[in-house]
Amino acid sequence: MSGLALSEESKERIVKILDTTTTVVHYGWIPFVLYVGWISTPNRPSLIKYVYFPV
Amino acid sequence: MDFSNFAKNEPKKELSKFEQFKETPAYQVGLNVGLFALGVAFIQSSLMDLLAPQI
Amino acid sequence: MSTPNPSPLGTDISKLAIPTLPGNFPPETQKSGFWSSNPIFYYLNNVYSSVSEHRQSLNLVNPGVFENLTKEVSRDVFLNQYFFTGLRADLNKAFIMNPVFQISHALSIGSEQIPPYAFSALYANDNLFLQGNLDNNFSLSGRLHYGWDKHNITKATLQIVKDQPTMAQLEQDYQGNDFSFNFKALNPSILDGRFTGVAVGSLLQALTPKLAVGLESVYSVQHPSYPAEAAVSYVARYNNTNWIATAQLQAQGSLSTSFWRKVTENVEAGIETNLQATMKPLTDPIMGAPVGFQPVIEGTTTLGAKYEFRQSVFRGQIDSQGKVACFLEKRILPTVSILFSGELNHFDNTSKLGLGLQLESAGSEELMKMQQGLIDQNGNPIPGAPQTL
Repeated sequence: MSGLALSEESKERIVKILDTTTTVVHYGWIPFVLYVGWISTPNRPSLIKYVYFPV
Repeated sequence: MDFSNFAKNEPKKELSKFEQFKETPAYQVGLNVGLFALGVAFIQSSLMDLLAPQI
Repeated sequence: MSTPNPSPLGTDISKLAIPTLPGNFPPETQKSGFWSSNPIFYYLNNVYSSVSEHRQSLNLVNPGVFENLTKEVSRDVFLNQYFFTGLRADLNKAFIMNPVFQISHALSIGSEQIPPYAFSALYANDNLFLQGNLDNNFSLSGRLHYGWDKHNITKATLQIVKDQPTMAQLEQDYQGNDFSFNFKALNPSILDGRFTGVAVGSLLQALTPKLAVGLESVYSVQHPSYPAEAAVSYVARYNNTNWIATAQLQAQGSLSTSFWRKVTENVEAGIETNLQATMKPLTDPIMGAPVGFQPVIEGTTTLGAKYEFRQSVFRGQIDSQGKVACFLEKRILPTVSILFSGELNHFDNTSKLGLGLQLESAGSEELMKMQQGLIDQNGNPIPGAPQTL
């Protein structure tokens, strides 16, 4: 697998893209899961229900 | 310098046959294989059935 | 159905297991001649179809996935997954049950493993599973599973922890009729001119309806300038429905065996023995300089049982290192459970203790009634339950 011809520039670009993706996923993953769940709930709970816990 | 006699001159604590055996890897192997066999026999025996509550 | 021009050698071409051949209409003469009369292909096709026929005649079933080899003992009976220390409270809230969507807040104090606060969200439908967990240090663990059909599942796992390298894992599961194959790659990269990361392939194949054997091979390159490492482990699993025995021989020099039995409907018992060979450096008694290596074998045997009662689950275990541990989960109200976990180490004279509270709350009125046992999953009232709410 050696001899993979990647120039320093394109390597840097790939690393940068990967870093950006990681950051986006880091802060976007939980909101994404919440959104998917919210959109599939028939009555679309109000957001306060994410933190409100009546016992 | 030859240090090989140093250790020999020290008074050596007498170890019983069992204590000597305890130092060898065979002890750990034998102990755990024995425990495993005992455990399997116990789990498969009717003793385990008696430990189950009748509900 | 039969093909109009059967191959000269008498094989029904539609029964040959060549996916590229359409079965319903006559194949082109040249193609049929090439695929069926070519001695090599004829032989290979014959072998393939007789092997697959023979495999079907064995009535084999899928042996389960490789990582669930010792699931019954290590995850169901033993405390490994459940034990915690300190105080904790979990607030779970379910919004809908199909598809499943729930969130939870977990609070904890006095524990080294559990963070003080963590939020998690979970969404699952028939073929998609999404899960995320974010703690007070903004460490994220995310999980995505997608089932393409009943054989193929793709999984992606991402773990971002502050001041630690990010871990990304891609996984593909294939579950055949009598075998399971899994391939995963952890932090794979070819940016350094060669493959770096960890690649793991595992196969579990059923040999008889009860016996399955498998192997796992790990190939890892931690750093481009280091040599690659490879290791192979061998496993076997015998499933006699009411009891299961497994054995694993790992390349790092460890051997573990486990045995599990379902004693009654709500009692399970398990035992696991692990023998690990390590090389201990020998030092000169006077100079303290290393003079060589001595093989040392460490062994642990753990015996445990799990009792499921109507409102509680109790797990207890004892091991050859002098540890006695138990975990109790008791539902005190339809929506409130308490957790207790304790461990005593008789050899070291140490102990660990954990207390927890789990609150379930519902995001909708139907779910709330369901949790309180008033209606069943289809929304029908349960007979005997008070219908005041």
